[in-house]
Amino acid sequence: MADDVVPVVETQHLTKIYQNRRIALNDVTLRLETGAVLGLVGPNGAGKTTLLRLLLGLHRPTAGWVKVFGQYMTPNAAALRRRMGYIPSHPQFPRGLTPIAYLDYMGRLFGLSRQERKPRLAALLRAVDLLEVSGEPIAGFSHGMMVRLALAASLINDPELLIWDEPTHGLDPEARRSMLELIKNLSQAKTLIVSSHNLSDVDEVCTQVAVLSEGHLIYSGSLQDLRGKMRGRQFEIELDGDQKAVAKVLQTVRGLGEVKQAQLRQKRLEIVLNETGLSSTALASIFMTISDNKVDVLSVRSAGQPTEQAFLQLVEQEESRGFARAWSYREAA
Amino acid sequence: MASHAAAIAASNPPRRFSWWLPYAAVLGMEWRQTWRSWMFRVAMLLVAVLAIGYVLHRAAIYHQAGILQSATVTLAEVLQAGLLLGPTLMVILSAGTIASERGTLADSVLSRGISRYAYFFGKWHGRLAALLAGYFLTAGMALLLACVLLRREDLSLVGTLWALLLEASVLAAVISIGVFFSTTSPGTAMAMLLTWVVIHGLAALLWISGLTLLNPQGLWRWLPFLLRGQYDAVVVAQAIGWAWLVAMGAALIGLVHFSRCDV
Repeated sequence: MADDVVPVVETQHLTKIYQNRRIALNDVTLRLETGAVLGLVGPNGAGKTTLLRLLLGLHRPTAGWVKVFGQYMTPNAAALRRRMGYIPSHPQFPRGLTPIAYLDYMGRLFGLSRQERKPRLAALLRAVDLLEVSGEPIAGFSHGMMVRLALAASLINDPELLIWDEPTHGLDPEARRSMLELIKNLSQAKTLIVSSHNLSDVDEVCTQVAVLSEGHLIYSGSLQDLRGKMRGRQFEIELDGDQKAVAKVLQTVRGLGEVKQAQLRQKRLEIVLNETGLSSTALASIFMTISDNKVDVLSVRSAGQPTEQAFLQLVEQEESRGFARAWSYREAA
Repeated sequence: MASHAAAIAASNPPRRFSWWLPYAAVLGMEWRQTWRSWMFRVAMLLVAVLAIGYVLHRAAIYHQAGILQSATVTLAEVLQAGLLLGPTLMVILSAGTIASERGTLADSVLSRGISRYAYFFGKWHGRLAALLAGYFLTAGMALLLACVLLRREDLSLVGTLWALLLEASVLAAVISIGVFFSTTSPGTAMAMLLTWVVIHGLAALLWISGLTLLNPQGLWRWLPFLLRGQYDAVVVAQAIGWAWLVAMGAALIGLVHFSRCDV
């Protein structure tokens, strides 16, 4: 049943090689359903912007294809782009224009009539707090103001799909917070793809994540799955009790078969579990040990920065695979 | 900001798209940006100063020395200079039409609801219109001044219009070739170099081949006769037609390439 629903974005074996010199994207297969907020993450040069440009039809795939709203994206697919809104990573504006003139120009590029675009651009300028400077040249604007203007431009056509390339880059904390709030609000009505270097942003606003590394899609799925897959195996347990009893807990825990590594920092027990077996079983044994030693538990938490840790582990794993990739590729084929 | 923008974005107004609006928007922006460009303004000023200065110089000879000066001869010389310098200026002013915006401004435009065809036509027509308007403006000023200050008995109005049209057509071909290379080159400097080489290569070939139409040497010789009204309208019309054919051919190849390339 789910397969009958046309995905907003679908790519199949998407590959981009620039002039037979640089492989920017390698065999990316991706599917994005309506209403999802996809966080596109990866190190510098991983191919995030290339993927976004392919989705917009600014670049043509070397192999594979991109479908947006169920139709193939091409450089001339203007009708598809009318349903999309885009913020480039470094927004550029024609010289000598004011925000009003620029948004009017953007509205005309979308083919919007005067009756539609004029009230809309006025409302958007007000919404992004640029009303007071709406008659001044854009050239004198700060980076934050330019991002807000680009944001307004991306919404002028009331798009169903928003593609924002590093929207929080270079913003001050207040503006960044506003941007994240906006993404959360928009996600109730629209589908979003947000590329970002900031994993805490992705963690906060995205429902799905796609991790790119050297042009290869190494993970695509829900954030929850990523965290669970990569790290449900590190825990920190804050203990309260006699120091001797706590030390005894540590000794016993180290002897448990499910525990790979355990160490004590003051009264915080840091545990790394083995890859095999259920973490719930291991934790049950650990809590039993704590209880047997008459030690109380103040808090339990999954260790580290959730998504960041998972992302780093994922990229590390991908890099460490080395030539094994060639074998797995053959098997997959 | 967040809740306001989200509310506006979610308002879903009824949408009716005008297919010609994106083209008109790019055309208008290109026209405006060309006239605002300092390079264009400097070029215009230079050409105007040279053309008007030359006419004033001839007028001064008549006023100071009493030697009669013909408007026809003076205008023919001005137009011949235009034939020599004009293509180089047009190469400089047209080669950056698309190449200068690749990967930056073009992103902001082509990611919107516009097709590559509409964008290309908007850019080409906008640049062509702005540069030819600049040409007609400066040539018109020189013509007007020559008519007022110099002897104009043998100057034919219709012939002058034909001459201006012919030279503008040649320049239109140069501009279109410049726009073509602007779509295929990674940068403005490369586009300029390629256009300049091709334009002058074509001119040399036509010169050597001895063909009548669009032969630079032939055009050079025609101009004084055209201004006097001594011409064959069919031949001049054919030359103009060929120039526009070259312009459209270059634009067509540029369009096909641009509609399939990465930006």
